Amino acid sequence: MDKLLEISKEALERIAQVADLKELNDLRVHYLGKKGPIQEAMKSMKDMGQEERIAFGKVSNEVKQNVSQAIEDAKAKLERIVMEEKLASESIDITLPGFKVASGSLHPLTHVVNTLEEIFLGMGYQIAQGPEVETDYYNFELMNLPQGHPARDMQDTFYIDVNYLLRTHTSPVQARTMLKANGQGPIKVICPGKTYRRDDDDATHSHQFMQCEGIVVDKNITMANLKGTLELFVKELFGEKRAIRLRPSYFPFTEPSVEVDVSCSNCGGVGCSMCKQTGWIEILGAGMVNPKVLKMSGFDPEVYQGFAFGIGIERVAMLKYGIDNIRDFYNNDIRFLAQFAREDK
Amino acid sequence: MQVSLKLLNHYIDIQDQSALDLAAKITSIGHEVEGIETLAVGDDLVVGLVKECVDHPDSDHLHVCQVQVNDNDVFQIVCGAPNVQAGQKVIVALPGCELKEITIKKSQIRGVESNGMICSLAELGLDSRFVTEQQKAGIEVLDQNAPLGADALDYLGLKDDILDIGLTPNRADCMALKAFAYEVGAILKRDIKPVELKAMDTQPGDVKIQVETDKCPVFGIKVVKGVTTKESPQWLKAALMASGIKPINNIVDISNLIMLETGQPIHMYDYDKIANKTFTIKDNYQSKEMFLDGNEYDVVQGDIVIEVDGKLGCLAGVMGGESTKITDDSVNIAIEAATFDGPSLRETARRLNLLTDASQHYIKGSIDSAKTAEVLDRVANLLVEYADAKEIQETVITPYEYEPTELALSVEDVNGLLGTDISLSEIRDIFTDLKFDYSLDGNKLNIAIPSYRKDITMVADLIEEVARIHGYDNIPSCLPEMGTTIGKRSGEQAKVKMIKDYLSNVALHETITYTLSSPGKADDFNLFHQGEQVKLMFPLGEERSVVRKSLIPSLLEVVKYNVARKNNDVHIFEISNTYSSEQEIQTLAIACHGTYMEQSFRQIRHGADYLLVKGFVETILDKLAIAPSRYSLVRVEKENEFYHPGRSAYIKMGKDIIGVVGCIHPLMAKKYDVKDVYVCELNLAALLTMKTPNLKAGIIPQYPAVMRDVAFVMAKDVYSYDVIRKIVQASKGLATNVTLFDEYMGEHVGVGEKSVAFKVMLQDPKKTLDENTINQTMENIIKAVEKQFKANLRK
Repeated sequence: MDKLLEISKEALERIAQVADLKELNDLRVHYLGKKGPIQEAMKSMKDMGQEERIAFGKVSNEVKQNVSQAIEDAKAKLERIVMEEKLASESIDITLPGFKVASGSLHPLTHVVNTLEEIFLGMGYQIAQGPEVETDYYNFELMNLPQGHPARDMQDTFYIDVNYLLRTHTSPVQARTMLKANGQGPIKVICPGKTYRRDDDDATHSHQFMQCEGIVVDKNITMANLKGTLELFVKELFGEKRAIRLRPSYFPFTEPSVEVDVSCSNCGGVGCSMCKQTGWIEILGAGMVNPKVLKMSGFDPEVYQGFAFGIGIERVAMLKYGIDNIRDFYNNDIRFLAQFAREDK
Repeated sequence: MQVSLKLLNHYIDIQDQSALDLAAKITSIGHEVEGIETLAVGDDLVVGLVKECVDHPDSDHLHVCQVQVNDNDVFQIVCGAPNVQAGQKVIVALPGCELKEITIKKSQIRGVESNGMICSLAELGLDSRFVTEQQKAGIEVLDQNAPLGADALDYLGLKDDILDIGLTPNRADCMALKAFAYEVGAILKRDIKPVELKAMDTQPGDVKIQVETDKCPVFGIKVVKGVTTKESPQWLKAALMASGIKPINNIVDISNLIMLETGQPIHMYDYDKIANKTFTIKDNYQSKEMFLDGNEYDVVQGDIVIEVDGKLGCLAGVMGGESTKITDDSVNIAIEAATFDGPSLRETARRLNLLTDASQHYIKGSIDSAKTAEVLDRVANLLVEYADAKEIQETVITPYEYEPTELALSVEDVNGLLGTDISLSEIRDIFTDLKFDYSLDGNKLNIAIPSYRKDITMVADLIEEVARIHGYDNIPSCLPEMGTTIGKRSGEQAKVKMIKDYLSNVALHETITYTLSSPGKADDFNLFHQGEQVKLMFPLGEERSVVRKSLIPSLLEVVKYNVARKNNDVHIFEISNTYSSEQEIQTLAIACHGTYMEQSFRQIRHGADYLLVKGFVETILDKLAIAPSRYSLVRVEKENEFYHPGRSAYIKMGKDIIGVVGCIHPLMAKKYDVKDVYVCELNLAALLTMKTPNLKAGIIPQYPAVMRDVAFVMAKDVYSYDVIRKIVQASKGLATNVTLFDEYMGEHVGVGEKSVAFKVMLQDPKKTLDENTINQTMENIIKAVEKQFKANLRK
């Protein structure tokens, strides 16, 4: 019995000092194996009386269990140390550059068009499109710009022949949409697209540019509706804090006509070089659809009224993103484009 | 339009208004004030007297002057002007005075104290057009009577604010200050100051007028005799300068003043140079003529001409002829006021490049034809007052009847269009303030449109008058009340957006390039158009004179632009319309150049190549629900000079080419000065309208799949895709996925051969495959491939 306890004490001491798993395994084989000291000690059991044998058996079981448990514990501990060593050895520079495909981008003008589209789709508008090579009839005649009108000057328009031209505004899509509706309202569309004017390219002019037209025609559409719509989308586009101002203006296709200014973001409205000291920046033109335009496009002006607006996409993008040269949009420098990999807001 | 507030004050009292306030009010009724300037700059400029002027002790050109600026103070000022002399009255800027470019300070000039500056006119900020060389070179010497110590700008009449107004094209009437005064009167709610016409003793008119064209609705001549040409009074000169017009002499200045006041250009003939005293207006005159500017111009059929003595007296509204022009010695003059057809005149002025101030008035339509006779009387009045005119003849004028338009406007008309609640009495007040005549008829106004308001032709125009005077700020703001409509992109629009989003998410940058191209490039890479190039009639230059048929040339130019700026990795796309004489086709183009993906410290790099661009195309087609079985790749023709014949393929659906993918041809690389660019162009118009199946979820197989590898040696030119198709076919549908995982050419295979290895996934949706079926299927596959492609199984 004393022998057993001695073995146990020695075993537990040796297990506690073990430094690696192999040594621990050797100890396990040594103490718990068939030829181990515990097994050896148990051989003396056959010479014992029953009572003594039961007592001895109990102790020897306890000793076996204790040693076995000690080995398991030591093993877990050693495995943990091994794992931790492995983890430590596997450590990497966590600041190395991530593996990624570089970001691509949508063109800034597309971002603006997308924003406009989302705003108006949310209000139940459709998106209409029309050809860029357009007829003189749709581009001018139906927009109440008859022959001889100064706006039809050959100097300002890319004519292809007497009947065809590159559209100078997205307004002909208005006429196309109305004619398609066959005199039946309501109409609620926006028409974003490319337009062309015979301008020499410089920092503020581009022979090619983008516009977005909008038109609503129904039986009781008023100028108050136009104002409500403009206020909503200008704030949506430029931010809640921006004020808008409506000024009377003139366009042949609307009557009354308005020019819409937004308070200057650069100076907050007190006046700076960006807003020519006025505190306001002109961003779009609008108005109530001229009865003549309604009539030419098949709508009875006695029954239907409507409003229309047109906004310059480059101008919005320039204000929104702080771009001061319109040519940046068409040079397509990758460093310029890459800035628009993320969306605003 | 430049409006001198000082001159405007002649027609309406605005003295109590600050320029800034007035500008805001004018803008609010639709005449945008784009800028406010002052005629001259300089506060605290005073009239001084040079009491003493001696040479500077240390300079060969400076003078040291003692200048008296009021009864008590004399300042010592060093002056460099060559014309400064003792006894002169001069303009003095005292320390603290801010001029256009400098602020005057007390200083030492070469050791002599100087307490200010004696000024030239140029230094007051006057436009250089209005300052003579002599005035620029020296100080301005004032009249001896100039009051000592007075505000010098005030004394010179140069204290004036100028509003720069952008008139809308429908309101050319406001080019006449008299008409503009009505607008200002309506906002300020005050009356205008009428221009008083003084009665004159007149002789009968002795000229004759013959009108032989319908391009001249009214023509009047007034003869005034005994005029003296001299300098205009200071107020008139200042008013003209503030209006952007250079003063010349009293006669010319009066005609310019009339144009500013009434919007009516006038022309003056030397009465004594006209023998038969007859003015014939015609539009069928043709000759080369000397005009009063001393240059010769071609007058052609259609130009409106005033003929005198069988010669050109004046090219109507544009410029007078040399033979009848007035000079400083002219004593008797014939004054013409008339209305000419604007569009015709515009054509003439454009052709001759003579878009004069006068011609602009006709072109824009500032003229109130009903007031022609009145204008001539006013000219005569001014000539009497400022040019000592002695004898005035009665005006000879062609008959002109003005029929005032009447329009009926109801309260409902106004509020129905504006969405407002404006009362009848406010509407009445607005037209009262605008000085329109009207009569009341129930809740309607019958409004007579004044002759100068040619812009008002319908009720909507009158409603605009109400709106702008009522104030756009006072119109309520609310969204339309109408039936609910669905806001949704069309199928095609949604697909375009999806493609753009996809490509921008796989590292491509969207570009927008110019539609216009040059004739030498517009046909390059064209694949979808059969028609001719669309050419502009009047392009701005050869470079942008035709509409492109393909987007590839534009993208190659973007690649070049970027590479030139050391942006070496360029991966871009564009979706735009292309055109030929026959049709519009929306296409998508991609161009890739340089490194696409890289992590150099791990030796990972993928550059632009055929497979990269092909991958984009395959994904796009997949996203458009166009299955690979619906299209095939066909190598481009050997003789193709846009694409590398060995590395480019057409994408065909049936017989139709719907796209191309590949490397650009070396000839194109040279032409566009780029290297190693891989591109594709797809006919989106065709792809977006194609019938495609709806998305339906399939059943995910429940039974395990088996993977088998198989490799063959076969001729190099066998298409791997054909082998895959054969494998699928031979498997009787059990091969659900076949991928190429190795391609080898080299010493271990024969010349002209390659080894290709495939991973075949076999799966039966209904049961677990047994060993026998698997082996049998693989055997079938091997046999079929060996037979079809003369291949050998690689063991």
